[in-house]
Amino acid sequence: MERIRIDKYIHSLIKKELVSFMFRAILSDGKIWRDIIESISILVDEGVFIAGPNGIRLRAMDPSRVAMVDLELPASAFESYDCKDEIPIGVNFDDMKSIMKRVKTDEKLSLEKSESEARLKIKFLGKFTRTFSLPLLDIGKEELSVPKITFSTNIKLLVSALEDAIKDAEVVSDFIKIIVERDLLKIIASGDRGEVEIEITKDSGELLSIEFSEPSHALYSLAYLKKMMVATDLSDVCTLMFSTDMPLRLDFNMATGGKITYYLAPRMEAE
Amino acid sequence: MNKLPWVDRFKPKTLQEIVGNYNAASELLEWVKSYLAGKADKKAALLYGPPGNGKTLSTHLVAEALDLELIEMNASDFRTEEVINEIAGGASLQTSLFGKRGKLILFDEIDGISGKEDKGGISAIINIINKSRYPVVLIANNPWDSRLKQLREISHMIKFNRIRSPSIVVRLRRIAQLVGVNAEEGALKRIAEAANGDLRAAINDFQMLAEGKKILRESDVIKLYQRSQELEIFEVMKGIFSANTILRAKMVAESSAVDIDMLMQWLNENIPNQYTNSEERAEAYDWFSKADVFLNKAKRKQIWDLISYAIELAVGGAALAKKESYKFTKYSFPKAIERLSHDKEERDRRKEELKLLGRELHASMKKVITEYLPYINIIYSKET
Repeated sequence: MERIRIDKYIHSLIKKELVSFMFRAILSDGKIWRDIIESISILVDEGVFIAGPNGIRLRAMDPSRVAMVDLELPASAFESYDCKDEIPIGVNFDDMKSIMKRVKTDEKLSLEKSESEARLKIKFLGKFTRTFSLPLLDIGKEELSVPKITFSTNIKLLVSALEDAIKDAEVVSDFIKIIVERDLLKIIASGDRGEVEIEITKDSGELLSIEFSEPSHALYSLAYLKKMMVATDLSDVCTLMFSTDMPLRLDFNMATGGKITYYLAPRMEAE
Repeated sequence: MNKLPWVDRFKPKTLQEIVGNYNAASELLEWVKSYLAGKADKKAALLYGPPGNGKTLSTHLVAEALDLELIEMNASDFRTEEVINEIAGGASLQTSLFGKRGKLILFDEIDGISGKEDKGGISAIINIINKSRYPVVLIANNPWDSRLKQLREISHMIKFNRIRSPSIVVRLRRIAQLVGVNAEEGALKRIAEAANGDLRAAINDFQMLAEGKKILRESDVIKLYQRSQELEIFEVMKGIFSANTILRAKMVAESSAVDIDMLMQWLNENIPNQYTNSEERAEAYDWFSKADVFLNKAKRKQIWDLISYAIELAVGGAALAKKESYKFTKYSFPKAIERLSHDKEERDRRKEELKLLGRELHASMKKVITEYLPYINIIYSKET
């Protein structure tokens, strides 16, 4: 009789332990999370991850409300993933970035949030386990929706090509003009310091595909584009979409599953 | 349950609902419209007036009415030129990400810019105003600060007045209806008057007093006043202890609404807090005791002129006992008063009992205490 009671007690304890975690996710490579955090924190100081049964997502705008970042990380991108309900996880990205800088190669990462605590446990699982505890922020949730735009262009290109073009353009100006006509992506920058014109074509192998419904062109600020290039660690290929004088969209699909999307409002034409 | 503070929960949703400063809000709307039409007189608008009278709110509602995206910065974002350029500068050069008609750039609390820290802050704002393709709105409580001179010159000034208390009462009554609180008219009036034209403060006070209640009485509101008086006495203590002359200390004591008995209690409690050095302490208490002698004489013989000597001795002694310069001290509420209020009920009961006994024994209360009570106590303790 006594025996059974003890068993029952232990069982209830185990159950409690399991239930008390609202959210627990393990990534097989901690560096992926580090790169994700870096590509968010470059634009946003704080934000709210929404962890749900199907994965994690985050949508946030930079303080000037000119750029937006949209992260989707499905449960399948994780080695193991457990989350029953939707829970908000508000974080300060600078703080999380500092923690993630400590991750080492070949370390797994575990993210845990228990029901009772307003903290996120960040565990580095390597030769030994290191657990950081990050206080969570109670940030009022601003329901953001992504800009509703029909893009007239859809260009798939090597991340390295785009990164180089941006670096080139920075030499002479602080904004670029992107032009799509024929099967050609043209990036032009001009300023007091000179001019540069970059053509990215299929022949060089840097442009993987290009579709457009009409010739399009628009101006975008290099300050923001440069920040978005932090995400280039996550993927070798990116997708660029835009329409004439409309916002630009830049997708980075991660090999391990998941996607970071940036939106950027166009710069106004000089008068 | 809705967790939003009432100020936010019952915020006007349109310009028409604005209380008190409707004309100023309309003027802002007209100015932004003329800016968008390219006909504005100035490149920015400067809204000014005391806090809590709808300046920020009007800006939000104007932006909404005209389908403009609001880019908002307040004093904490102003600290460096860099941040201003990054946020407002970035916003002023790009179009809206959401296809809005345009933007409205708001610098709130610009008088919060302090000289040293915010190096270049003002000039960065001026720079943005000059370059921006979007209307810029500035908000200040006090726009007459000399540092804001340049901003005043390039701005269309719009004054927001204190909201009159009848208007505040109307608003409070409406909120009371919405949350289902039955509030006495006098209660609302008192809150409105105490707010002194600050509708936000009035709503906050009202929420603090009324939340979760069915009825709000005027007497509940009076209690709030008493608490704010208590706040004031900490200032009085600081003024007295930091004074360097008797005259200064006396002026502080007399300018406050605190009566002499209360003041004595507070000094008695806080002399040891202020002076940790025993010499200073002794000095302060020496003068304090002399003040007490005068005060008692004044009361006993009803020679009220003596009170002014008591004040001089008590506060002057407390002020001049210091051998070093004034140190910041945390003052505490007099324990004697705390205790007295704590066992007030017991004392009241005892008084009632004494009165009863006195009636039966044909004796005064004093006589009951000194001549009868000791025997009654003995009789009863023997019995049990």
